[in-house]
Amino acid sequence: MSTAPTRARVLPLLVLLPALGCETDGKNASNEGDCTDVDGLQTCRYTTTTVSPGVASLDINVNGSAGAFLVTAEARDGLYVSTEQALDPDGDAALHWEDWYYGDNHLTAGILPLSSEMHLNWPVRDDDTQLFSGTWTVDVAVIDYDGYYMKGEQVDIVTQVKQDDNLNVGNVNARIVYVDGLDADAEVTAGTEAAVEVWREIWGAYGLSLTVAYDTATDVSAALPSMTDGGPEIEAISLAGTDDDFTVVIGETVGGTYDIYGEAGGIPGTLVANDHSAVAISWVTNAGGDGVFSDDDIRIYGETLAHEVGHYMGLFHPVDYDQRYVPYAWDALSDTDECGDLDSCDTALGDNNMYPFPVCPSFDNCTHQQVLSADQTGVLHRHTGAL
Amino acid sequence: MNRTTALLLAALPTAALAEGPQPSDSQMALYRALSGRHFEAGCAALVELSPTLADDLVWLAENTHQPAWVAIRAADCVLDLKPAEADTAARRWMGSEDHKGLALVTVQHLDTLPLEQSTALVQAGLSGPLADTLRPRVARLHTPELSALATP
Repeated sequence: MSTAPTRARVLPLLVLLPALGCETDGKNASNEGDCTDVDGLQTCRYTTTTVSPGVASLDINVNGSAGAFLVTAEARDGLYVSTEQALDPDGDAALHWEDWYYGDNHLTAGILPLSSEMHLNWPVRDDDTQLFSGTWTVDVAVIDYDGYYMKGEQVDIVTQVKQDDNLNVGNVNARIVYVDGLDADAEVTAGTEAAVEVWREIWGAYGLSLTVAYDTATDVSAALPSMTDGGPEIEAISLAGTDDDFTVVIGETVGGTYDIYGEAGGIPGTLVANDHSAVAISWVTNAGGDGVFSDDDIRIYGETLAHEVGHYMGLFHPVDYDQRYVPYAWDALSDTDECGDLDSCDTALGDNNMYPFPVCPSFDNCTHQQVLSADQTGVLHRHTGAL
Repeated sequence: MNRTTALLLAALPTAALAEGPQPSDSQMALYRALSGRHFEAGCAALVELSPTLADDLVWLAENTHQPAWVAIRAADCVLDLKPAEADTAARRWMGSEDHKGLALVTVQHLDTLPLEQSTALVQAGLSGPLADTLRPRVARLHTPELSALATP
């Protein structure tokens, strides 16, 4: 019998492979590219090319105690990048774009071809296939404006794996950057710092601590770009940070208007520098008509910071409305009510930090929005930047 | 003064504060539309909500405190949709320290207003208590006749 000895040799090899390939120094070694490993976060950068029909397959090695990975992909301007699918080490699909593209529930914007940059954090929820040891595969599609796949396209890739599977306690590093000399305006800095304390309190109740560093970018205009479009100044600001922090930029207008109080550069956003790698905030729009931060302004500004960085860490609104206040879309979480009309949504979700608007039972009197559900908390803890 | 009268008098300011300026139905409809965290619909969607749009938006700009962005968006929308009707209010905003946020919104619109109107607004701003705040922003306007006014 010749097969028995062969099989006997193969099995130990299979058992050894993850150890050899993924756990050198206790980290997620053997990932492709130029890698750094700092404070439990491995970051690897490389460039690949799409093959027929227009997809690049990325291998991500993880060990047993990895909690999440984040893929950041960038093609040339004018093209669109999105996640085609994510396969677990057994080859089973953990995510396929068609499962979430057409429905009324939002899981991740990583499957949407929105720009030349794409961010995918996995897993998103408790209901998703959690990481287990082995090689995961993420297929990244590059398409043109008309939706045709583009093969032979160069794609810059950053993979990040966090060596932390604790979903109850985590820390987020936030870098708050004042542009255009706003750091010299005491009203802006005092209001922002007080709002950060509100944000810290909101997340602290759910096991997320905040480490905040303040910085300046004096040469960047206070007219911040729309974070839907992004811009090179955002990448430049973010580059001055680290690969494990979130950037929050404090300016005066966002996207050329005071109408936007803040905007996240992705759901989820990335930890590394690119045109979308920040949350942009208008201090004026958060201070109101008098340009002065009252206690109520500070409280709502803090809720806003938690809301916008919540988007950046992967949270959608629990419900979205059309212009007639008819609900038309919901998040993909099972413990946020799939309410059917404005009144029932206000009642069920009005105190939720990710609700799409403040609920004001009477004029000028708005409900505090500082609650997160268990599933929403899980999304935050699963982001690769929650360490 | 007996105890009942004293109690009533003591309660009056609280009651007055709790009441405050109250919105009309159309102002409340606009308030609701402007209060969303993300303002995808934009100013144009407000037109059908009020028969007295300019007056209502000015009222909201000057009387709303929560959430802060309602006042800012109301000012932005009235200057966008009804700039002529907003002129008196905009001069008030440019010349008052209590309306600094609204003044900054007004500056954002100056390049698109008729030159006569925008010149008067700049002059109101630069001769008032917000001059130091407004001057560098006026200097960055695209209309040369306006940016020149920032130079003393």
